[in-house]
Amino acid sequence: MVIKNYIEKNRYYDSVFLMKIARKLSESDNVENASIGMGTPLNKETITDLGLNTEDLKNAGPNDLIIAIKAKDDASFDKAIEEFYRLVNEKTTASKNSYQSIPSAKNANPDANLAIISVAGKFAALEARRALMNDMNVFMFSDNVDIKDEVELKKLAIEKGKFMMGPGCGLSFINGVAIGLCSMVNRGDIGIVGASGSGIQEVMVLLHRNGFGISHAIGTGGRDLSDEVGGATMIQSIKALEEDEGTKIIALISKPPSKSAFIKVIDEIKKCKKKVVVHFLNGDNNLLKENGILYGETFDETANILMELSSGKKIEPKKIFEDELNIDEEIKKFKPGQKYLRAILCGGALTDETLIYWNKNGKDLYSNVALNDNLMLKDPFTSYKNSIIDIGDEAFTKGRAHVAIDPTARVNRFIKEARDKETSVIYLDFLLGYALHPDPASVMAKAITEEKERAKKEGRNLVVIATICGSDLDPQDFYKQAKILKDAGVILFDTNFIAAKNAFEIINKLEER
Amino acid sequence: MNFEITDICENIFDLNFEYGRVSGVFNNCFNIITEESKMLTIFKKTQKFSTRALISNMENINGIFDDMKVINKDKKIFIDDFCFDYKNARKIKTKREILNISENIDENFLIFEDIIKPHLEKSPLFSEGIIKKKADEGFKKLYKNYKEGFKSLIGLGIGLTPSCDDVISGISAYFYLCGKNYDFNFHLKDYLEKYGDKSTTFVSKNLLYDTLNGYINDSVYNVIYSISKNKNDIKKYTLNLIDYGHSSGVETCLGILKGYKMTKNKELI
Repeated sequence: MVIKNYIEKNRYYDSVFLMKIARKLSESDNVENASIGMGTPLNKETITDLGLNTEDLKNAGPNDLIIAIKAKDDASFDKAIEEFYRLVNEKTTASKNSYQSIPSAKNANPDANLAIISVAGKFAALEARRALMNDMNVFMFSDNVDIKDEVELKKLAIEKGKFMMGPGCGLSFINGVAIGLCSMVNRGDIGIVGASGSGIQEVMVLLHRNGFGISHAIGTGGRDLSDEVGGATMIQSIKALEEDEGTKIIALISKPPSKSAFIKVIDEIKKCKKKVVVHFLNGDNNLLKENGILYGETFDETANILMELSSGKKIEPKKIFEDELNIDEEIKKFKPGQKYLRAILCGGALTDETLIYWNKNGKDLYSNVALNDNLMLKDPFTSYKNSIIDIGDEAFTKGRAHVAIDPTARVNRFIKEARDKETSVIYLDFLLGYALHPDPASVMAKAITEEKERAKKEGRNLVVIATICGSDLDPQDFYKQAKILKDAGVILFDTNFIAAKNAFEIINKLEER
Repeated sequence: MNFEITDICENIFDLNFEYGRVSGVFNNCFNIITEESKMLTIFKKTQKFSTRALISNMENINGIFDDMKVINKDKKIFIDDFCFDYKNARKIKTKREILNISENIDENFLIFEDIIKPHLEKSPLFSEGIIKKKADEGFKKLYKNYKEGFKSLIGLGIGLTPSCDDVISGISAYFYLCGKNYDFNFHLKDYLEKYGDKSTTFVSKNLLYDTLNGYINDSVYNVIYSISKNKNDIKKYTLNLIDYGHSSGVETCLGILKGYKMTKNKELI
């Protein structure tokens, strides 16, 4: 072992950076310990207490930087110093456009008007406050934020004439800019406000496919329509879209609101000069009907109503995939005992839409996000009978990226379901857009091909169906993704609703068999 | 390239030096250390600056690097190709008046403590075992004997302004603004004049010296002002100070809190 002190005259770096470097150097296999600091007498004493001092330490003054290292040998020490300079260069290059804080970023970029916040929940509210106080709108991807903070932040945002999108906001589309996990779509005259990321996305891409476009889509975060928050951002957004010259029609998309929030939103809709179409999944549509408010019961239906209002005529939705599933033929191929659907979806709203369809048609579908408590899976990691998993749920994302960004978690679950001898159909959704995985189809295709092959060898028929929730403007190349999945033997459907219906049909017929 | 210095802090207004060098270049400013180890900081156009600031009309700091030679002549500062003309500079008042303390100060300090708690991990004083231990011992000594305390604390901690210096700066600012414990700042001044150059970085020594003399920057002043006067602003100004530097802000906050507790519990000579 060698102990050496490297002195840099009149050089310093910030303390947090130096601590990080010292830790990184110490983690190297050939470095037993490292300490970095300015050459003040007390810091030199600390280095001595750590047993990292040499004669050279005397030469360091208070304005000099000391790097004290205990390394395996001279070569390891030299390597550690090289690594130090590499990290310094990395920091210098990165720091050209990176800042210590939101206020300093705003100071350097006075025209910046949006802060995108994706930090741990306990810090997110503070950062959002700073952004709002610095006259910026906020898009908060972070969740696990106290609801009291959400209420306070939304109140502050409204006072300042800014938007507080979130917490837990998956996407927005503002002035043609895709924010968060969002597809790129054409601009048009339809504005959307939603507390449901994949729900907004599904409607957006359906409109886009049929030649329509979005003025703005404003994400509110999943709790906006709770009693506590009272629809603050949704109401603010309705007003904003009403004033927006580019918006002709407004769509509202969410899970069912709380009663008090619902009433507030209805009041706002009734005051709105523009046409509003509502889709609150599994919501009280009678209340909407009583108030003369247009609504859709599925994303497909909502999109159809919007297209009709925009164009003034009925629109026949364009068919993207010509795949037809000959259900009767497929049924014959299933082995006795194969009877269940296993859906593993990234989109929470798409999961909900599927659950609602099955529930309405009288069939049990177990889930980690079931509509009824008695259909809740005991263990979200283990399916039971017909099951649908919202794999974007918290249980699966603790300590890791959302599966739409990192699909590897879904691969393992797919394999597990595929090898279950009772599985007949697996349904997957693929979300495209900026900030999402660059090639989700390829990640799954290998596993799909292999498991279908394995099932075939075991005399089972494994049917894999999928939807692609994205547009031809997305960076992942929509049609390339489709080809990869088709080549892997996947049957593609145009929309989540159509896929849910087909899956239902298959399982129904299997039961009748 | 020619620039104008539009404003200079009153405590350095005379700019009495001949030579110096650039020592520390940041996003919005750079330091000059003079031949007498005095520090000046030239800022680009900004509303936020330190107590040793010369505000220029520069848009950015591109082209200024460490160790560049600095010459001061004929009301102009020359750095390589750069020339900063300060003949028309206005004086910025930076010396603070003593504050009247509100009756609600105890309650306000509870609010303040709650706000800074989650951020304390940023500081090496809470995460670095050996530095924390030394700092704890140093503060115990400080409560008994200032000179021994300063000897054990000033210069302790990594970074351009060592962590313990920032804590002491917070204590000093609090005592100054609240008109308490004058002897703390008296002894601090004495220590810095005798041992400052050898015991800590020039940046830290200069900033400590300014603080004990009442030249306190806006970030620190606003926190103490809001605690002593208007609790509605405590959160806003505290978060603003926490963002200052990398861990300096949070350590200064800790110092303000210590200053208050020292007064409350009479942990003084």
